[in-house]
Amino acid sequence: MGKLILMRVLLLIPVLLGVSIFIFLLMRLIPGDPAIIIAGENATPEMLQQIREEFALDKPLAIQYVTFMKNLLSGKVVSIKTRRPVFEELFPRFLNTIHLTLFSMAIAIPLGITLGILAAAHRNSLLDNFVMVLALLGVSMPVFWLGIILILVFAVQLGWLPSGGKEGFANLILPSLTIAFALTSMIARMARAMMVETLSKEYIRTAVAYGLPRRKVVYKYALKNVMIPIVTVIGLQFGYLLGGAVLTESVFGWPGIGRYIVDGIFSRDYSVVQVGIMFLSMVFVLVNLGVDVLYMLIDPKVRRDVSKA
Amino acid sequence: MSSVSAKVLEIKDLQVRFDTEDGVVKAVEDVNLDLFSGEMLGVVGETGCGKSVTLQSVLRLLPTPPTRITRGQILFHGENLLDVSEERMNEIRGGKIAMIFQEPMTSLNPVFTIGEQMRDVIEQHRRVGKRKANSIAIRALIEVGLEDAEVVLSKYPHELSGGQRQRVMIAMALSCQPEILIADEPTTALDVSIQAQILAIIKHLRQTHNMSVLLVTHNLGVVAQTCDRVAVMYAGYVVEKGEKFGVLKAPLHPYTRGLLESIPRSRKVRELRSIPGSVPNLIDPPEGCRFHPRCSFATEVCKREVPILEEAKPGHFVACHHWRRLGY
Repeated sequence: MGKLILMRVLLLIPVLLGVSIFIFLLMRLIPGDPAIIIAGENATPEMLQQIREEFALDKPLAIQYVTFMKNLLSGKVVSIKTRRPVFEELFPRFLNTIHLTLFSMAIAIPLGITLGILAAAHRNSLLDNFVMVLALLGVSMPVFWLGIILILVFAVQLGWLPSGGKEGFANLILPSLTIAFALTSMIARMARAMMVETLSKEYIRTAVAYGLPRRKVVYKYALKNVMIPIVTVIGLQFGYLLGGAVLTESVFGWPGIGRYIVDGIFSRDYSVVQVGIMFLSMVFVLVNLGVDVLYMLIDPKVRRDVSKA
Repeated sequence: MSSVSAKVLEIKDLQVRFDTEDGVVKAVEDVNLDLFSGEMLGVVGETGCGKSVTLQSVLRLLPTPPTRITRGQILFHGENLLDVSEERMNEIRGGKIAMIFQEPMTSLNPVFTIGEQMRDVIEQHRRVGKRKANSIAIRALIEVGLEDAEVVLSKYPHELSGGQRQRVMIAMALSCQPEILIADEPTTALDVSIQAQILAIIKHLRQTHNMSVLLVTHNLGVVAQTCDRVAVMYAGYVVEKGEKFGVLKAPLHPYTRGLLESIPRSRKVRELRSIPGSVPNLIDPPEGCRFHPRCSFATEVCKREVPILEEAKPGHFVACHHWRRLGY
């Protein structure tokens, strides 16, 4: 298992190289001159020239790329817009995103799994129908719309919670609920579908045929099998959310990494976008690695395949 | 053996229906089967003849809906299993009547060890602690020929071969000392060489544990090797039943004869015969005798009237309008 983890971490190097080239070229394909956008329409040609020289924007692409990579490796990439080191700006925002993600998942994972499993165990009951309608709403409702409604009700009408910002814990609640609602719905639907499918498997029939009580059949024999696909979905969502829930962050003015990178795209801040995307790629690979390790803990087949490899 | 022993299981006038989108499947019709203490009864028929449905009904394993048991009784020592509570049923399942299935690959839970699964079942029925359950499991595994029982207990199903898995299933059945073992095509999914071993184990255990065995199979050869009596099913009906030798040596029903003639025999090289046509659709089955469209002896009465199962010779029953004409 240690070997597997080492392999996957080493694999990060080619992945990040590929991402760096891809995102570098992609940024240069977008129309718009960072110098003009940052210095403004009324900037003098001298000012523009100064910015271009400072960031090597007037050099051939190959030189620009090499310069960027050199700066990256020495940790000295500077934002074109703010002229501050990108890492200094990125980390606090990433921490904000982690807060939001973890808090949302802390609500969504237990709630989603519980509701989905209960719905499947009591199929076609009132509870099942209620959960499924709610979950359908959750996956179909646009997050920005739900966010605005929550602001209207809890911030504007009732005045219980702040509508935005990140001063304290209270500011975390509404954006987390917004994300958690969609996430809970997704997990609940998945858990229910997988549980219904699992309950029709032959090994479940065996457990029933040997007189095990239904509680044990559902919550032990079926549940462990259901956890395998659920871990996949949660892992993917976790990686995705760590990339920043841009819409939610925008609605609530939450200074997360998603908004940071999107702002970088708008101002053609090549440094911010390139570093940001590479950083997120790395996070995504590492999260997937974590999911694979979890797999090994749940599924004995994966464990065997890994130890054979 | 069967003539003097007591009835342990009695399936009476069982009728089973499945509700499907295309209509109601008339899967089992007025099936009557008796199982006597210590005997081995074979239930034979093609895929879809209702044999598995009948036996799964005994333990109420079929999902409802879509399954409906519309008529009949299943009497275990006189207690109608179709009426008892779920709690009582869970005492009987595994504890009194154990079942093994066709697919040993998928019949064991992939994410728990054999030991975990066996111990759960043993603790459920024998009110023993974990350690005692473990030793019971080990003894059962050794009895079915898995000598390195302790190693097997720590394995996951995918780490065992098909034959080993079926042995594990039999050991699991054995571990709760049931009176009846229902074996639903236990050898169909296995290699021929393993099939004989598994049958030998079942035969042996039935004697040492004085179990009654209900063996479902589509293979008459298996019946000839192992069973005392046999019941032949076709399209939801029992069409013939009786002592093994009576039925196999002197079959009275044209379907049984067809089945026997379609067994390849290496010694006598002759043309292999098959029964013309195929198993009818049970949503809209043929009127009268359900076998008549495939039967070369069918007459007008066969198209109109369902033949009743009558005792042609002592202990030998047949459901055919023309058995007198066909008898050997």
